[in-house]
Amino acid sequence: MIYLKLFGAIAVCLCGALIGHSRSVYEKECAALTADLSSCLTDMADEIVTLQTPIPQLMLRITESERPAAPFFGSVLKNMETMPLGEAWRGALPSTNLSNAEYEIMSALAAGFGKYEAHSQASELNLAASRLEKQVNIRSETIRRQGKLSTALGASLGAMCAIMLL
Amino acid sequence: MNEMPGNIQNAVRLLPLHMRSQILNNPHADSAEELRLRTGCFPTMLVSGSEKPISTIAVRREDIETVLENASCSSIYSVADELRRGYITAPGGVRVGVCGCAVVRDGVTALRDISSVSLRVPREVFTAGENVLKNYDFSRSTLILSPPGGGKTTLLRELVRRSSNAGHRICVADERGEIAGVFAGQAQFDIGQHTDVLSFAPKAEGTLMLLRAMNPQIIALDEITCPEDCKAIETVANCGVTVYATAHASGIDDLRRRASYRDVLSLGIFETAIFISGYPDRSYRAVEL
Repeated sequence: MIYLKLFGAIAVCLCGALIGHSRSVYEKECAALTADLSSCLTDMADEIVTLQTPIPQLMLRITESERPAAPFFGSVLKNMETMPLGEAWRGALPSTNLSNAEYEIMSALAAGFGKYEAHSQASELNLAASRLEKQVNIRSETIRRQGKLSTALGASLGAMCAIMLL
Repeated sequence: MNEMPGNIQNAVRLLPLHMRSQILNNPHADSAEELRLRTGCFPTMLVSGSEKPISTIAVRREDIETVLENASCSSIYSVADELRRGYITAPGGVRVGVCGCAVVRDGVTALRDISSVSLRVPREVFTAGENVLKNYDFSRSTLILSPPGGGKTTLLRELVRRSSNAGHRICVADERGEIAGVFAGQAQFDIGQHTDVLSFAPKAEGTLMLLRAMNPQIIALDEITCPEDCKAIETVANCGVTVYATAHASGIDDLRRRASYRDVLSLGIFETAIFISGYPDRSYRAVEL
């Protein structure tokens, strides 16, 4: 009986730690998406200035890659079959796990799509990219501070439950 | 007429949503040559030379903006140079002519307050000029002549396609993107198996680039208009390359009256002229020069 109780206590403890760890992993994935979106916007800005490639073509290329942001750009292109780029961009945002601040940055970008000459369009994209990069840094700092804490807290809560069970 | 389906759809796709069904349900849609939108007026389609209204709702400024956004793939920077010349070539080879206020600073630098657009529906007619192109000697330099809207580009595309499929290595200097309708690196029209396309480069410069880079047997270019084009043709021809070109003219005498063409004709570069006449039922006549 005591072994069964001990096994149950360890299992509860591990579950707690796992939940904390999962939260930490999720945050890391979100940060990776934001970082990749920032990187994509910078790449797009560079090519707009050098080759003046239309935005849908740039998005298509990203969609065909293995990058974390590929599904987002795929959604935008799908939406573009029935609506203009700005609306399509905004329509694809809810499918992402962006924070409120990141969502705002991406949403604001939509208003200026297709209305500027190359350098201004690239500046818009670069500005959004640098703002996203700041958000990535904030997220990284949060993950660094809270990642281990979440795991330890989860394990502690699990341990408490286990003690109460025993 | 053996036309590819989807030509009118390519033009309709550029329009605001509320206009699309009205056009596609119109009995004249398949034979429409152009769709015209003017701010404050009813939208029309050009059929057999006359404009027919397609809606009783006047065109708004936002409708024109939507057409420009769709035609530029939401990337107006990518068509800024074309726009300055008064047109955009949209996906599918649809030529969108624009009118508005020109901003002039050492020539036209931009167009603002765009008030009218004209969407020319491209035609891919595999039987164009059948009587002339059947058993045609594709190694002959050829000049295609007709008044504006006479079907020169359509016949040139067909000449290119047949010549290419006959095994000739052919390069197209497609300044307006209307011959091949290249979009995202792929020709939207059938231009043959041995055809290389240089899109949107000025014809004179593009022709010489092709000559240097692609080792062509034939070079094709649409609407020779200025002395630079004629000079480039002369250079190409002197290198032993066959030239296919088109020009606005009602006949060879009309062409000879213009100084820039006179030189090309006097040098004997073109061996055959194909005249297109009749509207809308066109007839084709080849003449040795």
